[in-house]
Amino acid sequence: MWASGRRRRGALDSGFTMDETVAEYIRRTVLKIPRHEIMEMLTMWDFLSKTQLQTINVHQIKEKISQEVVELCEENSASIKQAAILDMIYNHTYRNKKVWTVYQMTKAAGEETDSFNLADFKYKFKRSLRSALKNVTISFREYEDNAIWIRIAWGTQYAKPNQYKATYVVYHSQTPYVFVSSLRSNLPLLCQALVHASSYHDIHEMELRSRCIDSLKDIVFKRYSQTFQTYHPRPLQERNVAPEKVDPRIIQENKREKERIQSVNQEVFGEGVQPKIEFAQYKLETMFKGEPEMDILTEKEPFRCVVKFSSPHLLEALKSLAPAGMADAPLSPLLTCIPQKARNYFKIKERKGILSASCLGP
Amino acid sequence: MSLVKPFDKLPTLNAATILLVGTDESQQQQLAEAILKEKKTFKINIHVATSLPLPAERDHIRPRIDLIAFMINMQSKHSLRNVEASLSHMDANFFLGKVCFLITGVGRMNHCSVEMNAVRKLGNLYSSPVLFCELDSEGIRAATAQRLLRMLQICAGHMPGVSALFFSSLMKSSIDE
Amino acid sequence: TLPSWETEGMHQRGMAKNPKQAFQVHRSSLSAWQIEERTAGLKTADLKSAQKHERGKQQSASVQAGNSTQDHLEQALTYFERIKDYIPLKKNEVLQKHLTTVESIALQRGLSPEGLDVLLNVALSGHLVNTRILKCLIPASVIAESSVVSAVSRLCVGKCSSSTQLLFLRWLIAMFDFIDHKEKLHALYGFFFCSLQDEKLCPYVCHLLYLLTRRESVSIGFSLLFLFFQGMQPHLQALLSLYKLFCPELVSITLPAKMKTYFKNSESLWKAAINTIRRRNQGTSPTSQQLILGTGHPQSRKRKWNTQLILPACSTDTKNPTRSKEINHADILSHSESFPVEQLHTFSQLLQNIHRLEFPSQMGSVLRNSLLLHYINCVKDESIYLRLYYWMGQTLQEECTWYKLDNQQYEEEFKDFLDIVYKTECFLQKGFSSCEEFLYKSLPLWDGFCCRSQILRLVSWIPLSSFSAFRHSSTMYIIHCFLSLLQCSVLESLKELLQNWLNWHVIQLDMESDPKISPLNTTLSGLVNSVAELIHFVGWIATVALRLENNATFLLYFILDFYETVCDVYLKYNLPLLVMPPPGVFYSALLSMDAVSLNQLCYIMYRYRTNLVAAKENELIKKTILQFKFSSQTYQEYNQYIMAMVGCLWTSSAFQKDIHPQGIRLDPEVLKKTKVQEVRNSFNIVHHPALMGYAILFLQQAWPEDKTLNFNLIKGRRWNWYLEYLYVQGLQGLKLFIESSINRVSQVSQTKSGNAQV
Repeated sequence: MWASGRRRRGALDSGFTMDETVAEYIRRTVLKIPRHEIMEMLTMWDFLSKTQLQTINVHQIKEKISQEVVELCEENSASIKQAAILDMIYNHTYRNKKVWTVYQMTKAAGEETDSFNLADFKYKFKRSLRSALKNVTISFREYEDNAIWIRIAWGTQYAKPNQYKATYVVYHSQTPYVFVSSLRSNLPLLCQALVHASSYHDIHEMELRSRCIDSLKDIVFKRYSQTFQTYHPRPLQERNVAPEKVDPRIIQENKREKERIQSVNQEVFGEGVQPKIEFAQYKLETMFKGEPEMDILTEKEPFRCVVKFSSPHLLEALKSLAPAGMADAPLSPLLTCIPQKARNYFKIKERKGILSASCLGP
Repeated sequence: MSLVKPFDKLPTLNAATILLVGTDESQQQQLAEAILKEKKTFKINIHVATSLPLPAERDHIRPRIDLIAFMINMQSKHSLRNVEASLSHMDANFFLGKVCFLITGVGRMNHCSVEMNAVRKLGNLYSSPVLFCELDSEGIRAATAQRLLRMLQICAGHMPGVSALFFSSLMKSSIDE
Repeated sequence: TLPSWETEGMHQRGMAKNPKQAFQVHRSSLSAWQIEERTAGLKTADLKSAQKHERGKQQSASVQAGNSTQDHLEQALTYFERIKDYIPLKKNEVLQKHLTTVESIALQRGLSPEGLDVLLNVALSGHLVNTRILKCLIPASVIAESSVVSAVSRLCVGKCSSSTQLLFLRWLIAMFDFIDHKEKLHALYGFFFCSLQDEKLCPYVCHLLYLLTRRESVSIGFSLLFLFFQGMQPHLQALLSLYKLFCPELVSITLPAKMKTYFKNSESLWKAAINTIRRRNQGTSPTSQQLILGTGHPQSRKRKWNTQLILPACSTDTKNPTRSKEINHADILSHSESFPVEQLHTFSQLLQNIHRLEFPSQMGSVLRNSLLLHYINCVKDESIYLRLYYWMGQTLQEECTWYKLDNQQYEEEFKDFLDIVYKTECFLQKGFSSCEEFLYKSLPLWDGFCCRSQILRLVSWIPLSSFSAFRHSSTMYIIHCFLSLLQCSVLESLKELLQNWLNWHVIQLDMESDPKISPLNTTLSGLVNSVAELIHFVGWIATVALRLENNATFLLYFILDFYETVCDVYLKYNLPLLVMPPPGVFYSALLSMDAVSLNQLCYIMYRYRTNLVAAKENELIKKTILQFKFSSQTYQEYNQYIMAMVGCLWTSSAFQKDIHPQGIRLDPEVLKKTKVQEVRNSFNIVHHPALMGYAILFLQQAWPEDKTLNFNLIKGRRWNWYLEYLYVQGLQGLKLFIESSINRVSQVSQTKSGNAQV
C-alpha cells in the first residue's frame, strides 16, 4: 500500500485521477498473466496504444510491469469496464482454471425459435439483471463459434460489485446450452435474465461439471467421436491398429481376449480422444442387502454414501482401465454413460435394474 | 481350457519356456524384454498371459512350460485376486519348485492395497519363493531377469545335478533349520 | 508463578522494540540475508565487510532482483512488527500480500535471525489466528536463542491456540540444531517438563526434552514426577530410557530394550524448504563451504547425512579471530559450560575438552567426524549410543530406497550413507543395533539389487547374539545369493562376519584378565555355538553354490578363503572350536582342475593338523577336564580327509584308501569295468589333473629331447626333484602339507595313513 500511495501522488501531479480500485484490479490482473503472455494479452485488450505498449519493459519483475501498465492506464483514464475486459481476456485464455456447470434452456411446447439478435440479447440481459440489482458490472465479449462470454461482478444493494469474484457465463446463441462458472448466491437472478434475454421458457442444471469448457461443449453438442451409437462396430481388421514390434520369442497367450477387450472398449468409448472431465460423483441411496439376521435390515432407511471418482482426465482413465488389466471389460454402464447422458453427477436410488440413475433437475 | 501341466510334453532341445501371468501387460512386456536382453546359452520362449487357464486352442503349439512367474502389484487387489484365481488352474506338480511370485510396488507402502501378509501367506501356501522387485527401474528389472533366468535354467533341467525340486527344498530347509 | 526467565525474555524483547534500533537491525540484516548468512551473530561492522566480500561474487542481475524482493520483505517485516492487536486474515489484502511475500522468500532463501525474531513473535502473539507464518519460518543461517526464549515466554502467556503451540513445538524440534546457543534453553528445561501434563503436547515435549536432556538435567524431582505419567507410550519411554542411562538409580522400572519408533516425525513440514536452502547455500559459495567442513567431503544434499553443515557458526572462529578469543576467554571463566562440537578441530582440542563435550541432537554429524568417533569410542557413554540408535534407525527407515520408491533418485546418497555407517562400524569395531534391525526388517523386501555391496558389507557387523535371528530372516538373502551370482560377495561378507566375531572374542579375553572390567555377557559356550552355527551355515551355502556354479574356481577360492580362517580358530583366536569343511567343499577342492585350489586346500589341511595337534597337547598337559574338547568325530573326520588326500596325492590309492562315506572309493570290480589302464596312476602329485601341467613342464625341462612325455620317469630321486620343482613354482601349501602330514622317512609305498593321523 505504501507503493500505491506513492504512485497516486504522482498521478495527482499530472492532474489525472483513476479510481484506486480499478488501478488495483488492473494491477492484479496483470500479475496473474504469465510474463511471456502479457504483451499478447495487452494487445488483444486493445486499450493501450501501440506506442504506449512499446514503452513497457517486459524484462523486469512482474510487479514492475504491472506498475507500468497501471500508470499507462491512468494516462488513458481506464474505467472498470475496460478492466473487466482485460479480465475476460485472461479468463478466456485460462478458461480451464474455472469449474463450469452446464445449464439447459427449454422452450414451451409449440414455441418457435426467434432469430437471434445479439444487441437485443445484451440489452434484455442487462435490463433484467439491473432491474433486480443495481450494483452490478456486466460485460460482454463475443468469440468465434457464436459464443458470447458474459462477465458479471455482483454487488449488493449497498455494496459495490466485487470484481474479484465475478461470474462467467458462456452462451452459444444457436443452442439451448449455457455454461456458468463460480456462482453462488445470485443464480435465480441470472437464470431469469438468461431465459428472458434468449426468449426461452425454462432453464435447468444438467448435473454436468468440468474444468474444461471445450470438452463440455463437445459433450452437449455431441461433437466428439462416438461409435456407441452405431450399433454394429466395424470389424477389427479395418481399424488401423499399428502393428506392434514384438519379439517372436515373446508369445501373447491371451491375444483373443485382448482383442475382445479392445473391441468392447472401442464400442463403449469410441475411437477418438475422450472429452476432458475431472470427476464423477455417485450418490447412493440404496437399501442394504445382506444377511437377514443383521439388524440393519430392519430399518427401512436407505444406506447413503457418495462415491467420487477423480482424475485429471477421467474418461481417458476409465477407457484405459480394461486394456491396462486393472478392471474387467466392459466397465459398468454407470461409468461409461457420462458423455452419452451428458452428466457426471448421479443419484442412484433403489429401483429395479442396475441402471437407475434418476434424472433429477436441480 | 485345460490345466497347465509341467510334464505333459517333451522338452525342446536346449530351450526353456517361462510363463508370466499378471494383469499389467506393459510391465510383463518390459520384463520379457529385459529377460531377452540377458546373455544366455539356451533358446528361450516367453509366454505372457493375463490369467490361467490358458486358451485351449493353442495347447498343441505351446511348448512345455518350465517355470511360471505370477506377478502381483501391491497397489492392486485385482492383481492379487487374479493370481489367486489362476492358481487353481494349475497342475500340482508345478508347485515342486516351478513357480515363483514376483511382487511389485512394495516401494509405495502408503498406496498398498494388498497386505504384505497376504503375499507371504501365498508364498507359504504354495511353497514357492516370493521375490520383490520394482520393475520400473531398469537396473532392478535386469537383476530380476537374471534371477528368473537362473531359476528357469534349473527348472528346465539345464543345470546338471540340480533339479527344481532340489532347489525348492533347499530354500525350504534354509528356513526350517 | 512465572519462572525467572520470563522476565529476562521480556526484557530482551523490550530492547528490540525500540523502533529505531529495530529498524536498523532489520536493514543491515535484511541486506545480508541474501548472502551467506553464516556470519550471523557478528557485529554489524563485520557483517558489512563480509557483505562486501561476498557481494563481489554475485552477479549484478541477481542483486537487482534480490534488492527488490528484499524491499518487499522489509516492508512485510515492518508491517508484522507493528501488529499490536488481533487481525483477521480474511479480506485483509495487505496482510495477505505480506504473508505471501514472507512465505515465498522464506521458502526460497530462508530468513535472517532478526526476521525470524519478528515473525516468531507475531506467530505466537495470538494476534494472528493462522499458522502460515510458523510453517514458513526457515532460517537462512541460525536462530537466535533469545528469539526462541521470548517465543517460549509468549507461549506461557497462553494467548495462542493449542494447535499453534503444537506447531511451535514441532518447529522447535525440527530447528533445534539451528539455534545458536542452548544455555538459556536448558534453563527452560523445567518449564518444558511441566508441559508434559498436556496430553496433546506430550509427545512433542518429550521429543524436545529428549534433545535437551543432559546429565545434570535429570534430578530426583523430575524422575519422580515422571513416574506419574507412566502410560508407557513410546515417547515417554524414550525419555525415560535416557534418564535411566544418566541416573540408573533414579529410574527403577524396566524398559523394553528395543522400540520401533520413539517419536513422530516433526520435521516433515519444513524438510523440503530446509533442503532447498541448503542446496542454494551450497550452490552460491562453494569456497566457504570448504572452510566449514574443513575436509574435502563431497556435499550431500540432505542435511541429516551431512549434519556438520547445519551446525551453526563452525566457520566463524577461523574467519574472525577476535571472536574465538572471546570464546576462549569465556571458556576459562566457566568450566561448567559445554564445549560445542562445531569448534572441535584437532585431536589436542579433543583431549582438552573431553570432559565437557556436548553432542548435537542429530547424531548423524558424528559419523563423519573421526574426532568424535574417537570420543565415542573412549567415553563408553550409553546415552550416545541410545541417541545414535534412535537417529540411525529413523534415518535408515526413512531413506531406504526400496521401502519408499520416491527415494530412488537418492540411491547414490543412500549408498554413501550406508558406506559411512559401515566405515563407522569398522572404526568402532562394533555393529549398530539399529542397523542390524534395519537389515532384519528390510532384507525380506529387498530386491537384491539396490545398494548390493553396501548391504552385503553391513551384514558383516551383525552381532553374534542375533545371528540365528538373522538366519531366520535371511531366506531372501540366500535366494538372492543363489539366483543372482552374488555368492562370492556373500561369502566374503560372511567371512568378515566370522573374523569380526573372533576378533571381538580375542579382545574380550584380553579384557577378562583385567579384573576391573565386568565379565562378558556372552558365555563361551554361547560363542562357540554361534560360531559353529555360522560355519555350518557357510558350509551349507558353499556346497550348494558349488553345485549350482559347477565347481567354479573363482567361487572355490572364496570358499577356501573362508576356511583359511576356520581352520585356525583354535590357535589364532583361542576359541576351542574346529569345524571341518563339508565333503562337498573338500572333494571339489581336492579334485579340482586348478592347482591354486589344491594348494589352498593343502594349506588348510596343514593348519587343521597344527590346530588339532596343539589341542591334543594342551589336553595332555593340563590333564584337567576341560570344558571344551574337540569331539572324536572331528578327529575322525580329519583322518578320513587326510587319508583321501594322501591317497590322492602320494600313494596313488585314491580309489582304494578313501574311507569317507561320501568319498571317491570304488570297488575294484567297478574299476576294472571302466577299462581304464593304470587306474592306480590316476591320482598322485604327477597325475593329478591340477598338477599334470607342472609334471609336463618338469619333464620338458629335465629331458628336453624326450617328446613322449613319459610320466613314469618321475620316480625315486626324480620324484624328490619334482617335489622341489613344485615348491619352487609356489605351491607352498602343498609343501607344508607334505612335510607335515606325510612321513618321508619311511618308504613311499609304506606311508601309512596312520602317520598322518593325529
